[in-house]
Amino acid sequence: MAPKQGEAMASLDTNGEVHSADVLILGAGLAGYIVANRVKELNPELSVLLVEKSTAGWSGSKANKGAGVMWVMEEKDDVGKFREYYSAHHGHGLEDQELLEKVCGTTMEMVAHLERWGVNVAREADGSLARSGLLPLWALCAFDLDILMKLRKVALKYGVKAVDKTQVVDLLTQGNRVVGAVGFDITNGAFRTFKAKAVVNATGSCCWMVANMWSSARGDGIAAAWRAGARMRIAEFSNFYNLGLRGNQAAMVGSQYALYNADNEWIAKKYCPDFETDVDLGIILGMEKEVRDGKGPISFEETELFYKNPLAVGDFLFRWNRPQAKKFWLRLWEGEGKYTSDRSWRPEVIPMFIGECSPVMTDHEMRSSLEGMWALGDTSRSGAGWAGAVPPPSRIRGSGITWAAVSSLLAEKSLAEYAASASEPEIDADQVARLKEGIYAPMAREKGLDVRESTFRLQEVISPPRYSARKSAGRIQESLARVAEVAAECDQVTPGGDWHVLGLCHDLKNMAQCAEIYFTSALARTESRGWHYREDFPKRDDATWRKWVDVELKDGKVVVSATPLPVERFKTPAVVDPWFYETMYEAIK
Amino acid sequence: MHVITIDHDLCNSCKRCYKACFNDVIVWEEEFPQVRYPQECATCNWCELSCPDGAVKVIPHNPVRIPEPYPRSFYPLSYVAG
Repeated sequence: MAPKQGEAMASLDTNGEVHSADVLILGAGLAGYIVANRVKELNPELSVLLVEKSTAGWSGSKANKGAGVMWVMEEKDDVGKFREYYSAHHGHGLEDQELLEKVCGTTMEMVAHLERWGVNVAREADGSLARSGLLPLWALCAFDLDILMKLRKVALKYGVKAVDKTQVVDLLTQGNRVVGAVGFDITNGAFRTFKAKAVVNATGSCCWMVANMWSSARGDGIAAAWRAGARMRIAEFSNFYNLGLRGNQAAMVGSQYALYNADNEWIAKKYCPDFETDVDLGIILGMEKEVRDGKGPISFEETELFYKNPLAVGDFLFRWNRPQAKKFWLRLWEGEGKYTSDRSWRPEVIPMFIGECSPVMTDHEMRSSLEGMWALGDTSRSGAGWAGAVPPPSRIRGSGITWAAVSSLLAEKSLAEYAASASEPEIDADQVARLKEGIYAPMAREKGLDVRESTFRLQEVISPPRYSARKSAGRIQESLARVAEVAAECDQVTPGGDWHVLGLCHDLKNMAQCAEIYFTSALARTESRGWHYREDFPKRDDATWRKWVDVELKDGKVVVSATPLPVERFKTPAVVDPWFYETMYEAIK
Repeated sequence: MHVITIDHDLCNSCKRCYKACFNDVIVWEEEFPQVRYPQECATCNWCELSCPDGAVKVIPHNPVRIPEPYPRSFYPLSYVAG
């Protein structure tokens, strides 16, 4: 008898539990829940199983611990003008304009589904969507931070199952087809095998555990897909920085127009255009330039936070009635105010590395290069191609939430149809046994390196601006060499018999592989474009590089290629912003 | 390291703090939540906010350890020592 969905059954000679489903979803964040609910609505006969490293409904890297905002294009917003603006100032000519338009055209559908499922989306008294009034071409709308709870309630009603506290480590394959995954319970070490006709990879981005609030984004699904042979696209844009307080990493969103150097000079005049909608690479490179010139530290004049800041925080967060968000942010700020190390009038601000490596390549229906695997949300944010030469959130706050939802909606039809018609997968017991051995290998080491220290060594070659903002071939090669050293340490770290720490050991391996993908792609792009600045190639080169850098693992070797953009199908020609590529580049030399 | 405290005299074992923690800082043992891995705490405060009985407190310990962006070894004119 075939195992029922969500029920454990020892059917393989691996002593573990085997869970089967038509659709297996790795990661129960926003994308995971939305696609789960939509698949059930499209075809209630399909069994859907979520696997989550923490607890389904409380996880995800953005939905319950972010600002609770989403990017929306309403009917009154001019998509054509937005596309032109986005291409010139965000995507820098590297965006897939066809998919960008598709994303824009799906955001209102997203709002409709969320509200239908009971999510508190902020609306004005007249019923219109409440939107921040300071952004020129798109809407920034708000929802409350209990969004996952609302989606979970719907999922439970639909019969979606979830397995919690399970760290998925590797994908199971049948030829080029993904047919499941294996992992272990981080609380007791139990081995689990998951078998499915279709697999959704929605574990999120890799932020290398540098910034506190993004510390659950460790690239699990990206690295598993990499090892299984999935193609990765434009991973060189895995270098998102915000501005943050040195002491506690509190993000000072939109503070670039309120920064001063040690000589009390207002530095935005050199590194920021007259107006920008969100932080750009210029201020990150500019802050570093000031320090190189002996004019650090950079301090933040709090009274000027609202100056030229369309993301003005007070209004941005609290204009709407959102009880959960209010509770979350007031408590967070109370803690920051009470315990931060620097509460001087002008606290020091540093580039706060977040990363957001999200390179799993997909088509416009979120199918990865591996048959049977879809990649959603932050797993494929760069890899889908629409964002272009900018790391998430693409200088559009709230677009992480939107992409999680929209990518789910773009995937739902092909996913449900595939799962309904695909043949029953065959699980290779030898593959399971081999992967199981790899999962538990660190537990055999009685003595070894401290995995948290190895993780810090990895962070040291990713997060400083000299590696991820001001790149050069020499420093990228230095990073790759040091990443390889850390990767070698993966065979030396010991969990000390602790399952949680075993999880950290696999996180280290995954984060090292994401770093290799990132720096390999960065080395290949021998030009400067958007958030990829190469000191040794300080020109944008449209003739050579209107291409996506692709990397994949073939026979154990990293293979790099470049795919030309289908520009003949695009409506907007590439525009080179003279301020960015001339004025700013001159200032940060 | 951040400090998370749980007053087991106030705790009603509802598991909300345990479920709310997305970094596995709080584990479940002997019918109570236990703070086992504060190294991974993101100081999101959801464990504290989720507790209906005020049993959980999160005290951030700052400054947090991050790679130095401007070490003098790479930036000779840096204001940062080291």
